[in-house]
Amino acid sequence: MRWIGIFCILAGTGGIGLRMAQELDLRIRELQLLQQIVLLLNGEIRYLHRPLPEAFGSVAEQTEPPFRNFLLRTAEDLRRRNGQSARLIWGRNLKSCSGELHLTVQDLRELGELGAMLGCLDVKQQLGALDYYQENLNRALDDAVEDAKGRKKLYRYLGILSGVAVVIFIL
Amino acid sequence: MKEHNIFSLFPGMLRETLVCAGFRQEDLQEIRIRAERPLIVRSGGRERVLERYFTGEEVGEILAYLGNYSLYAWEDEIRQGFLSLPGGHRVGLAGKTVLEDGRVHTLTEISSLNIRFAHEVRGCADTVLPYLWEGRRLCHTLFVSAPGRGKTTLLRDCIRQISDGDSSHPGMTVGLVDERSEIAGSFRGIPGNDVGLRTDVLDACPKAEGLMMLIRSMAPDVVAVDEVGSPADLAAMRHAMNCGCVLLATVHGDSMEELRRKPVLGEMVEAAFFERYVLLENRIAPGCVGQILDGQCRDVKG
Repeated sequence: MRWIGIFCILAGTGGIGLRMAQELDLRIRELQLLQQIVLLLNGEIRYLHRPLPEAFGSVAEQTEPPFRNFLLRTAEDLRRRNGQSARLIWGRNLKSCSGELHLTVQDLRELGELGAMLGCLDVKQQLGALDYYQENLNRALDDAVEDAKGRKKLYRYLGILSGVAVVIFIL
Repeated sequence: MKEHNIFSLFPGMLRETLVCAGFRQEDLQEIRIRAERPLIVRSGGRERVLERYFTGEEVGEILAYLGNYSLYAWEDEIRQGFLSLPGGHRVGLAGKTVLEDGRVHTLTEISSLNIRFAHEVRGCADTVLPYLWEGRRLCHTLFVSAPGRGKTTLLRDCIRQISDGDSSHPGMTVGLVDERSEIAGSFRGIPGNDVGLRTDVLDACPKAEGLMMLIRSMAPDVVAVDEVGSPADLAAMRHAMNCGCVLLATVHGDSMEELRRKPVLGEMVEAAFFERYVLLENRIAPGCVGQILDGQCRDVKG
């Protein structure tokens, strides 16, 4: 019975450590997906001059969840034309899907700000806004990769070690 | 054309103002929005000044909404000072111009919007059309009026009737160059207005180039074009007339004297290129025909 208890504690804390390490990987994956989305949007605007609702719909087709659903919902809301601004629709949908994301508060704030920069007067300005966001994204991704290197190991060890500490304390 | 909800084109702040003020979408003719100035609405032939002011930022938001949140997609139109909406409606724009090599590159800080609603009035050309025929031959015709008097509406109905034909005149193939999408009201290339069953529409195409393209590719009996003015337009019109096509066109102007004073067009008037001039007046309602003159400027209405 005691050994089963020890195993459960170690498995639980070790699992938490692994999960926290995995969250870092998921954030990196989501930032990479955002990079891909911005790149696709860039092409839709630069070469096809597609309006945003169509561009979002088209990019959503080429994107994986969770951003796929976000883009599809935003495209649908924009098409519906119920009197709301693009900024409001973007912000609302981002908020509603933020539970599925593993981005930091800062990442979400910057993504939210991108919504306010959409629909500019000309292609040059619009691409400028996307480039600006892409630069922030690149920086965030570099930081996330660098950060993850050390912290992933730390979380895994910390998970196991905290389990060992709890076991010693109980015994 | 009016079947779709015009109010759905507007953002909430403008939609609510219009609904609260009791405007009906079918009566709307023109909405003028100027930053920090009262909203002016022309509806049912009357102008109303509303106690509703929009800030510069709100004007920008209204424009972004009208442009389907994608103003960059209509960059070329904005450069020319307008934006086309589904249904053939049009937004005129004024603000600060950005120059590049001495030419207007784009408009920015847009502070004035003039939303003009296209009105499809079926049958409004009934009283005019009989004068545009000489026996079984359709005459080269120029519709002349000041802005907002219904010449586009009249041209649209003429195109429809000529294209469809009737018991005395068989339908003719019409090539329409609709540079500002006002006549056919095309959205994604498909006309929203009834322009007749034998009409081919070249949407959002520069007039001079479009006339040549249609003549080369679609073999039209009649070519129609709205708001001509530039020397290139007039040269293309001359070419079209010499290619065996009948030309229908509109031009801004108040009288024949004014037309004669215009460069190039004045020469065409003197040379009697056109066989009919339809002059509109606005004493009673838009689209009201004042005079119909022949190539020698004689009244053909008697």
